[in-house]
Parts: sequence; C-alpha cells; structure tokens
Amino acid sequence: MMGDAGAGNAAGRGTGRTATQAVGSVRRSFAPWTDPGAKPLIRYEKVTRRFGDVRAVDGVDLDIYEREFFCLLGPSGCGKTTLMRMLAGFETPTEGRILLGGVDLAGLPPYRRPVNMMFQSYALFPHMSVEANVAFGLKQDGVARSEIQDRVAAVLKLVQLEGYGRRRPDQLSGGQRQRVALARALVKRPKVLLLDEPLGALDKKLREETQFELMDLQVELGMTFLVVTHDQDEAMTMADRIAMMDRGRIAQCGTPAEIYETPATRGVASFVGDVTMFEGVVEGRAGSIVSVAGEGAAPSVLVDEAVSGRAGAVAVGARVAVAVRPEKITLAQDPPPPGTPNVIEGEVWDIGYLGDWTVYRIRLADGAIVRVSRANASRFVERPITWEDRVWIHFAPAAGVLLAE
Amino acid sequence: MTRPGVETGGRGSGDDASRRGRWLVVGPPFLWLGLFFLLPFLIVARMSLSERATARPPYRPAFAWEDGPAGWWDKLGQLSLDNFVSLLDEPLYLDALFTSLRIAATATLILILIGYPIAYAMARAPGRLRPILVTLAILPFWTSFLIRVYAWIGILKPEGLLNAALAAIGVIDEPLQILDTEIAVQIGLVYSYLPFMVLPIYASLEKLDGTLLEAAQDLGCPPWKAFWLVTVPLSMPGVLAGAFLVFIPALGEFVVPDLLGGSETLMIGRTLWSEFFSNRDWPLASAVAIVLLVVILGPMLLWRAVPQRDAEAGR
Ligand SMILES: Nc1ncnc2c1ncn2[C@@H]1O[C@H](COP(=O)(O)OP(=O)(O)O)[C@@H](O)[C@H]1O
Ligand SMILES: [Mg+2]
Repeated sequence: MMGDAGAGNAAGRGTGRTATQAVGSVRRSFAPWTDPGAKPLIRYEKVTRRFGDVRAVDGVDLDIYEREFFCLLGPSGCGKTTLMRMLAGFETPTEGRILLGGVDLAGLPPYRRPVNMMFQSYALFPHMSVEANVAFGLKQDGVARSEIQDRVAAVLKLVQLEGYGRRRPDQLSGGQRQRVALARALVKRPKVLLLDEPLGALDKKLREETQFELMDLQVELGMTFLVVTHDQDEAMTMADRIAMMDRGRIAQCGTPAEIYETPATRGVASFVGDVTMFEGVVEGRAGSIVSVAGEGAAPSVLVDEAVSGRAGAVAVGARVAVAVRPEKITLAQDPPPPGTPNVIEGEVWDIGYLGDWTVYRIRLADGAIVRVSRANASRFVERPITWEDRVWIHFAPAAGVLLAE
Repeated sequence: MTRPGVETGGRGSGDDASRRGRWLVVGPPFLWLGLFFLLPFLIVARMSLSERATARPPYRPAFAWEDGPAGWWDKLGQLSLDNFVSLLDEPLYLDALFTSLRIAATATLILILIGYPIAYAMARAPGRLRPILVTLAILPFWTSFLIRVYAWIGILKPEGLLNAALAAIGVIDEPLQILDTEIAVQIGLVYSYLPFMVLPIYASLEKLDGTLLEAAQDLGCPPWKAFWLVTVPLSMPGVLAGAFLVFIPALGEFVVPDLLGGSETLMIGRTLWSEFFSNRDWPLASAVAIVLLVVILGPMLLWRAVPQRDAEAGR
C-alpha cells in the first residue's frame, strides 16, 4: 500500500483498540537491541544452509531478544522458512551455529527443543478432536491429566474456541483451524513460538483482526514470537523488529520505522512500501548534502546522507539512487519559490483515489514516473489537480535516502 | 443468494437434468452388479433351498417359472431348509468353516505384519523410486497364480529347495514335512495375497502429510512414538482395506489348500468343491456357499456401519 504504513504503524499501536493501550505503553519502552549489555535469547552465528548448490540461507547473523515480536520478511523463496526450521530442529545448518539462551542447539532433536512451531499448513492431526490436538504436546511431557484439562480449556478460551473442543479439524473453518494450530503451539508455553506464515490462509479482513490479536497475545503471555511472512503490511503492523531477507541473506534488520524510513538497499526500499528511485552519479558533497546528477534528461537531486546514518559511504563518481517515499514529496500547481531544493516539473499522468489518500503518478521530462501521495484532509478543494495538469514536485534533501550499487 | 425464488426455480430444472445424468453414471455399475452378482446369487439361493435329485442338473428346483406367482406363494410355505440343517448336523462342514476362518485370520494377521513394513519402506523411498517399487509389487501378477502356487510345491516338498537349503547350512538333519500341512497353506496364502495387502497400505501411507510427523515431533514426541500416534492411525483405512481384500478370498480359497494343504487341511472352499463335483450334491454345495457369503458379509456390514455412526456423533 501507500506511505501510510510507516506512520500508521506508530499510531496503530496505541490507538484504535482499547485493548492495545497497555500494549502500546509496554512497547514504547521496549528496545533491548539498543542495549549493548542485553543478552539475546536466540542467536544465529554465521548460519548457512545449502541444498545442493542452492544457498537457501547464506551467512546469517541475527540476534533476537526475549519478549520480542520478530518478523522475518521477504519474497517467497528467500529462505525464511529454512531459517526458522533450523531453529525448530527440522533442518541442520551446513555452517555456523544457533544458540538458544546461550546454549548451542546443535545435535538437539526437535522434540527436545523448548520451541514450538505453528506450521504454514497448520498440520492439525485429522484423526483427533480439537482438544486432543491441543493436549497432544502436554501428554508428551507427561503433564497430569487434570492439569492438561485445565490448560487445554484455558488456551481454547484464549483463542476463542470454547465449545469447539470435541470437533474434528475438518469440521472447522479456516480461521478456526488457524486458532487451533495456534492454541496447540501456545499451550506448551515455549520459550519461543515460531509462526510460519500464520495468517497466510486467511482472508484480508480476518487477517487484519488476527494480527492485532496475535500482538495482544504476545504481550499478555510475555513470549518471544518469531513470525515468517511475505506480507510487508503484516510485518510492519506486528513486529518490534523486522529482518528483511533477500536470497538467503539478511538485507536489513531494524524496527519497522527504520526499515521504512531508511532502507539499506534498493531491494528493501522497493519491497517495503512504495518508492521512487532517482538514478544518477555522485557529483559532489557539501557537508552531509550530496548532489546526484541525473543522466540525460533525468533530474539532478540533492540528498542528505546523514539521514541514514551511513555518511561518507559513497565516493564521488559512484552510481547511486536516491529513494524517496511518495508521502515525502510535495505536489504544487504553481512553481515553488526560487531556492526550494529538488524542484522537478512534470505532468499528471495518473490519479488513484484511495479514500484517505490520493496517489498521483507524475511523468517527468525524461519519461520517468514519480509517485506522490497526498492525504485527503479536507473535503473541498478549490483547484483540484486533474489529469494532464502541469505540476511541480519538490522534496527536502532529508526526505531522500542515498542507496549505493 | 439474494433472490431465493429465482435460484430455487433454476435449481429445480437443473435437478432433473442432473438426476438423469446421475443415473447414467450410476446405472451401468448397478446393471453389472445385478447381472453378475445378484442374479447368480438368486440362482444359488434357489438351489440351496431345492432338493437333490437324479436329474440333469442334479436337483429339483424349489421354484420354477411355470408355477406362476400363485404357485410361488404356495411353495414359499413348503420351503425346506434341510440343506442348511444338514450342514449343522454334519460336523465336517462346521469344522471346515472354522478351520477356514482360523487360517484366513492368521494369514491376514501375518500379511499385516509383513505387508506394513514393506508398504512403509515403499512410501518412504525417494519419489523417483516409488513407481518402480509399485511395479515390482505387482510384478508377480504377470505369471499365472496357479503356476506360482505349483512352484511352491517344488520349494516345500521334502526333497525340495527349502529342505535342501536348510540341510546345506546344517540347521536340519532330516527333511521337514512342510508340504501338505497347514503351514504350507499359510505360506501359500501369504505369498499369493501379499500385493493385495501392500498396495492399499502403501496408498494410505503415501498420501500421509509429512508435516504431521514434524508437528508431532515439534510437540515433544520422539519419532517412534509419532509413528504410533500419527502414522499408524492415519494408515488404518489402508490396513482395513487390505485386510478385507485378503481375508475374504483367503476364506474361500481353493487352489492353495488343494495344492499345498494335502488331505488333512480341510478348508471350506475344498468342501464346496467336493460337494459339487465329487458328490454332485448341488443343493448342499449351494447352502455352503450361502453360509460362506453370510459369514463374510456380516462383519463387513458391521464395519461399514461403525464409521458412519462415528461421523454422525461428531457432528
Ligand atoms: N528440503 C529442501 N530441498 C531442497 N531445496 C530446498 C528445501 N527447502 C527449501 N529449499 C530451497 O531453499 C530456498 C528457500 O526456501 P524457503 O526457506 O522455503 O523460502 P521461503 O520460506 O522464504 O519462501 C528455495 O529456493 C527452496 O527451493
Ligand atoms: Mg515459506
């Protein structure tokens, strides 16, 4: 979707639902990854997993902290499931090691690991009732019968499936099956709950509701969640931190806002949210302001490299791109006053009305298309922008992000 | 959904067409069953209620076409169950029936014990290998059943291959008498029916979702236990299908006991044969056949009823 993802994320935490108010306050102060003394609960050290010639996971270093809601995000086939399955014990790293609470997991079979997984296909036992499915893990641990009953009842209540205990999985809807799978993984109170595309099979509305329920649940139970998803909105909504994966490597790891505002690579910039790339060559720099010259008719732009915290990373003469989010570009019907940076003239090529936002696609002189979004804050507009209007776009140097390669 | 009236109308006319279509699909199998199962069954049933006679065929029919409906009704009152009563009077028949049940049940059990691991290994083999393994499993069918059972005579007889091999490795001094015993019949049955047990179990194991086993392990269940708690219950339909596929023909088996069982192994199939062809007592032989059918159908109907009840209770 549009640029609301970054801003909407912060707002979505504290407001919108009364139940999440407590969650919001917990979350605001939660950032163990910024504390150099904090010990990670899960640590991937230079983990590689090869299948034949394919490097499904390629030299991954990753720390995940206790009580974190961590998302692995990336396109299909980038190695998310493999990375997670190595933690559950279903795949063995070809190289590197995985630590849980400081202990190397190598050689520990899946049934001895204090983690539980919710499978993408749910993997409910079709020959057992809902209750028996949920009780299965507790029975393996030799928990007393009366305690099993209590805990199963409690967890079924938690996922709002009271009264469904005697049904078979094939007598449930997709959403209910998802809840049973969740309950079955939750009931053992694992140190880490692994969720592989937990909402993938649900329709959009149910998926959005369930996202918030998962977040509430995670805070309520104080568990560490590791969630795999290929849906960037989902990751942005739920995660404390996101690791964006690309062809087996971690392209960037950070909070949703960091990922959105200061993407580290072109891949991240274009996978998460909408973006326009201004291609060019570094011409010079004045302080932290870098000027990037477009080739031919392409516009030249100024960008503040301090924004990304990666100042001095590119040399003069290097080919770069300046990535700008659509909501950070201003659209004007008259030429802006002289001295305004990054002014580019164009023509309205396309308009998409989304209700809360309107997306404009502006065509520049060199034929490039720039995406600009505007909030529809007021109902009546004196001079509405329409198709084929001459317009001027401009953005601050600090609005762009300088990307190498 | 929004306009129920229209939809019901539409569905009504569609129903007629689909009903006709359904009969076109269901009709031929019914016709087949009627011609080649129900009709022969009625003929045999009539024969079993008839009286033996020196005639051609060697019985006096209980019903005849010429009697007409009124005559049929009359005769219904005078029906004689003599043939069935004499089955009970003569211990030979009950003996043969119980021996057959015991031998067929034992063979079925042995077949499950041997067939399950084979099917399991086939289902766990790499995907490329599986079609080859299935072909291998049905390969024996390319040779006549009769010839393959004959071959076992050569293996099992006192001077046969098995005894020679056992003597050669020094396990025995005297040749074992295996041929013409119940053991030989068991060996023959297990050998002959193995593919019928392996294939249905393989089919149910092959479609088993591997992530279910991963889920079981993830929940703290070691692999051997996951096998008992997940694999075995989910392959039960295959085991049951295989059990019926081997138990029923094994019960009435004639060739195997005749060739390998000698005179001491009395199975119901051989009894039936000798009543028909040696004694030429067709009515009695028919009564034996009917009893056999009831013995087989009884448990099967019971088995069919159980899963249905189960499903209804779950709803
Ligand atoms: N068991 C396996 N054997 C061979 N290749 C595999 C296996 N599992 C995954 N792969 C390959 O590893 C890559 C990453 O797969 P996966 O981790 O499932 O990606 P994702 O979950 O991100 O979609 C893919 O190219 C996939 O084909
Ligand atoms: Mg996956």
